Amino acid sequence: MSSKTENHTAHEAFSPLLVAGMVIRPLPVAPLNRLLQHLTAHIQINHPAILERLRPLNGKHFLICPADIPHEMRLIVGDGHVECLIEDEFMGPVDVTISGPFLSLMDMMDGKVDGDALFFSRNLTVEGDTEALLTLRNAMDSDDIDLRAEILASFGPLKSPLAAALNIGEYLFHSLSRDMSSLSHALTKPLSNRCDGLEQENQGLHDKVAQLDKMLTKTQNRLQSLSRKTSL
Amino acid sequence: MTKLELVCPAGTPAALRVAVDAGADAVYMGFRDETNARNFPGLNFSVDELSEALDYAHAAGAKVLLAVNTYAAAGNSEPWIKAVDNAAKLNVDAIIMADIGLLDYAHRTHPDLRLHLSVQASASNAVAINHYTKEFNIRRVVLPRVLTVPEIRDINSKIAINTEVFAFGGMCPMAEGRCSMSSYITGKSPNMNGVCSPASHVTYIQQGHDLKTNLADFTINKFGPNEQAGYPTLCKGRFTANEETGYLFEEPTSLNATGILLELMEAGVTALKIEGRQRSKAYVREVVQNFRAAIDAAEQGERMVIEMDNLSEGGQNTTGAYNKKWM
Repeated sequence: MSSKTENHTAHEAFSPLLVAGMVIRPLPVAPLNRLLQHLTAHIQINHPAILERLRPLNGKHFLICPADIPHEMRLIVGDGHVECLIEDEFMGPVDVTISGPFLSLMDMMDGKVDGDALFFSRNLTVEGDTEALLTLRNAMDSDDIDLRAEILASFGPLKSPLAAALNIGEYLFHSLSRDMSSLSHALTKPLSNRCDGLEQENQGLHDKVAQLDKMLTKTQNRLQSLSRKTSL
Repeated sequence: MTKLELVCPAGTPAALRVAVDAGADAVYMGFRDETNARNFPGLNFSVDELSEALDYAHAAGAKVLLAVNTYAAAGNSEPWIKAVDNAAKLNVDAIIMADIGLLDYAHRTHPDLRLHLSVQASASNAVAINHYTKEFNIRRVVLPRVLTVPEIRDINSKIAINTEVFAFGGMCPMAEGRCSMSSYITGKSPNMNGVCSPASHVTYIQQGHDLKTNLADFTINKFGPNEQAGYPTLCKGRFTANEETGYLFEEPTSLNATGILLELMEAGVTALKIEGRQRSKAYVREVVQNFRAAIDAAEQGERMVIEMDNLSEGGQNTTGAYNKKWM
């Protein structure tokens, strides 16, 4: 019996996020930043205990790099507050860089997936100040953050229409995921079959070489034995 | 045979709630300082948080065990004394300790406080355990991960208190409480500072598709593109000597005892400890749910082996010393 949590690998590049990325890329950064700041402020109000745990990180900058969307985000921990912005090239160095598939990063923030497990399986890459990273991870994990609920609640009276829009978005996402997966499968099947054939051929050659190697060792041993007998 | 008690980790209040909801019989945690062996940044409980945790756990019928299991610093035992006094004041169900001076203090000052002997005390034979029982009235011992199942059975036949054994998580191949490997290159050890290979000394470096893991600027391992990674602990490091590269002590791996619960019950074990106060609540949820199922099955005499490779260091599991195959 095995136990498996959902894991979004970096290899799932051909997904609806690819399309979403194409849509998001040309959008102006300013409204996205306002949206991020609005959500970050809302989470801080609802989860003050997290801010308390983040206190030792005052002044630290974290770069979050989702592998499958066009924007990177910078999380800046200040004195009793946190700021989140879309990264731009003029922003200076960061203390920690976290990279991984967007959905895995979201699941980790939601407390659905274990960050260490993502790291072990190489689906999460971390570089920089490890202590700061662990402090951030532990602080975020110390309370129950339901990202979907937080996003909805942060929009006050617009909560209901936004919930309906999110439901439609999720439905479209899952539906598109299935379609794109089928398309990807159809496109890569001939190549995959060819790879399987080459793999088999390779295995056959490998076995043949091993067999020849064995025969060579036997022949060498026999020759050595004959040579010893001759010299006697 | 009595049903095994499931003792689960909680590094944060959210993890405690998850553990209780997932079916833990008891949850253990520490205060946010050097008095416990998982003194990691952003982790652990304040006194107020412990008080709330007690309310939450007790309402669900679960116990709360407080770990005050590091050794008090020379000339500064105040944080440890305060931790013991706070535990008594809040009426925790038990306190897990290793330092004999603190055990003596707790026993004399708070005679009603239930004491468990931490694995950090490294009590691995009946003579030592009976001594702690006689002197400090300890009611349970957490056995080191160096014993075989027959050795545990033998100890249980010679002692009069409960035994708790590790069932899942970090596979420490050394004798707990006696290992100072981490302090050789970082100056910090679990016994004195509550940290093994502290995060402040850890660096992960991506080199193309390879991952290099460093501890205090020493390279402890280098993982190839398709290799599962592990933490840079010295005992699980990969070293090169005489032109051969390999693991000297242990590979990156985690303990998983779901497959031997019947044997542990038969050996007289009372409780199973899940390691991982430093892990996320997602880890706690999955491991506790799986062990709840495995323990309930074992009570019916059924064996339920549950692989949790996805949560394990190096992506692999072992039963470690319980089934010692190397001697």
